[in-house]
Amino acid sequence: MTTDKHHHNDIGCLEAMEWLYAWLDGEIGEETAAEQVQYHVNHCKSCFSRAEMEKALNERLRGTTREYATEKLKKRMKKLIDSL
Amino acid sequence: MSQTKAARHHPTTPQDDIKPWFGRKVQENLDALYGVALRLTGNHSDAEDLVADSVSKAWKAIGKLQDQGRFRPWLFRILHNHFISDYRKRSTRPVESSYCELLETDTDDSVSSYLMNQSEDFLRWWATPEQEFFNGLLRDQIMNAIDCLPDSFHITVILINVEGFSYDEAAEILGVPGGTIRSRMKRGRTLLQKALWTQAREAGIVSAETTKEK
Repeated sequence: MTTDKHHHNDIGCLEAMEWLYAWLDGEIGEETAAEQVQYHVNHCKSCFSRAEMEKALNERLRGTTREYATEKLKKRMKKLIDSL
Repeated sequence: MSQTKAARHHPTTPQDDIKPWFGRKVQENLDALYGVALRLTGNHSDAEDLVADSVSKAWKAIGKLQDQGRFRPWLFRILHNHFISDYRKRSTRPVESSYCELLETDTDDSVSSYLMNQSEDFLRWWATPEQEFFNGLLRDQIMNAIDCLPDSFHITVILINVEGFSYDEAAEILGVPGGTIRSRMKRGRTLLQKALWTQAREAGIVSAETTKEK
């Protein structure tokens, strides 16, 4: 990772890292700010690598960590809702 | 609370529809409710009790729900508040393993500040991660790493990364400003990387020698 700015519009690695997670999650409301992060990630090898890693972690978190209600809980909830 | 009383206070749903509507919404969210409850309490029995108690509380308070479109974050806020008030003291979430102890909990939330205090090995890996890294991690290792996070980061990562809530919804559930969620995600995800890296080293997936060669 480098702290150098590659271009006059480049926000640099540290600023990009500050916004990386919000950017990956689609949570940067301001279009210009999102474009600045994307520009940096697309032009910085190490930040691109980190962003890809974070995307991979996002997929693992979403894909393999979800829980499912137990049969015991499903029956309990049905009984509870029926009794309301 | 009876069906009639709950329906009378609800702003938009016809009386005859309130109970089946509530039941459907609960069923739609049951897996996620249980998932969050399990991560918070650390055991199946308390998780089931927390979900059941929270749904009962939600039904009693259904008249206070102003916007049906916000039912999901509203329901999860009830669950989280109920956990804080009645379950947190007896939570069995594991926090004592060796990699947990490596997670610092100082309040400076900038990524750069956090990274400045890390070991060279970790920084080298952090700057040049390999895609194969996650392929070697087991589900339990990922969940252990999540469960090591300090409370505020733990629940935020679960809501957003595991259950798919937006930052806005997570802020509503946790009763904090949106900017706090963004800060928690930034710091929480960096802490999570540290926990995963430490576990991976302990499991031999990433070795000190490998990281030094990069």
